Order: sequence, then C-alpha cells, then structure tokens
Amino acid sequence: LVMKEGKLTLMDVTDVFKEFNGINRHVMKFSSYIKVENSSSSLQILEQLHLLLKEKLSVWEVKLVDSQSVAVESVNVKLEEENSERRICVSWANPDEDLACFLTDSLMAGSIHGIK
Amino acid sequence: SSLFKKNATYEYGSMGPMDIDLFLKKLKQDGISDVKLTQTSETDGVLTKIKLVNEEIEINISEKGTHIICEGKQSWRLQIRDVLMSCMNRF
Repeated sequence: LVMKEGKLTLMDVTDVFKEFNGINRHVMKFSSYIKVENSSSSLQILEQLHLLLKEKLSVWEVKLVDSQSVAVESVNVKLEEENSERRICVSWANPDEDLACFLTDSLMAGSIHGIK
Repeated sequence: SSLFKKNATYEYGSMGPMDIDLFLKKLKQDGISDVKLTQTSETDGVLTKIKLVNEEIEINISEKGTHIICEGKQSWRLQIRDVLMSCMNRF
C-alpha cells in the first residue's frame, strides 16, 4: 500500500521503486551450498529432488526449470557439479527468507531423503 | 503460502564507503572481526568483497545489492543478514 497524491494505492514492489526515483532499491540476495552425498546420477538426483520438494511443499509452486534446477516459487534450487563433487545451491532474495530458510534447513537435516 | 512472506521486507538506500565502514564496525561489535576485504572496479561501480576468514562465507556488496554466499550453516548467515538490515532503510 502506497500513499500517492493523497490517496492510498496498491502497487507492485518493482513499480514502487520505478515510480519513486529518489529511492534506490538495495537487493539482498543469498546463496547457500549443501554437499550432496548420493551415488545416483545428477539427473536422477534432480528428479528425486523435484518429486520430494513437490510432495513436501505441496502448497507452493514447485517446478523443474531446466536439467539442473528446480524452482520453489521464486527460490531457486540448483544441482552443481565440480571436480566430481556435487552440491545443491539454494538461491533467493530477502523477501523469500522464511521459505528459503525452511527449505535449506530441511535439505541440511536430510529430511528430504536420498539427498543427504 | 503467503504465510512465509508475512515478514518480507524490501530494502533501499546506498552502500557507499561510509555505509560499508559502518557495516564492518557493526559486524565487529557482533564478534565478526576476522575478515578479508578486497575492492575492485567493475562496469557498474565498485564491488566490495568481504570474506570471513574462519567461516566459508563471502559477502559481495555493490551499489545495487548485496549477495551473501555461504556453505549451508545458517547461524552466521542470519547474523550477517541482521547486521546488514540494520544498516539499510526498508519497508
């Protein structure tokens, strides 16, 4: 809700920053890495991750983005591989903190089976 | 699903040299003083990198935003997040 020309108006956050030139948005982003200890192929892990997130977070929109990533609303979950070590990178912006924190904690605690 | 967004905030303001000094000072007050700082000139301005020496955490600050990168462990990240938010304006 924004007070504009003496009236209360409902505006999208991005539009608020566009409209009010004097206010520069400072975007806070986070990336959290979690090691994967699983011998399955990367594609299998990603499919497994997709299904499990869909099941565990059924209230949210969980979709497969590409051959490496799953998106839970605007939180990105990417499977990365470097020097035969695999890890999951969870990335989000500050407004998604609660969901991302819950998701990261679940992955770290191994409550999403087969991932850790 | 909106339950998870009830505490959402949108930050604004700048993170210029004085703001970064204040951020480092507040980190120090919070017990985070062992940091390595580097600054480089990029196409969209100065990029400040702050690395926590004993933790695998990196903080990248530019004019338009801050990116905090860590290895899973939440406690340090949350602490740094709180300190950074205390340096910014928000709604």
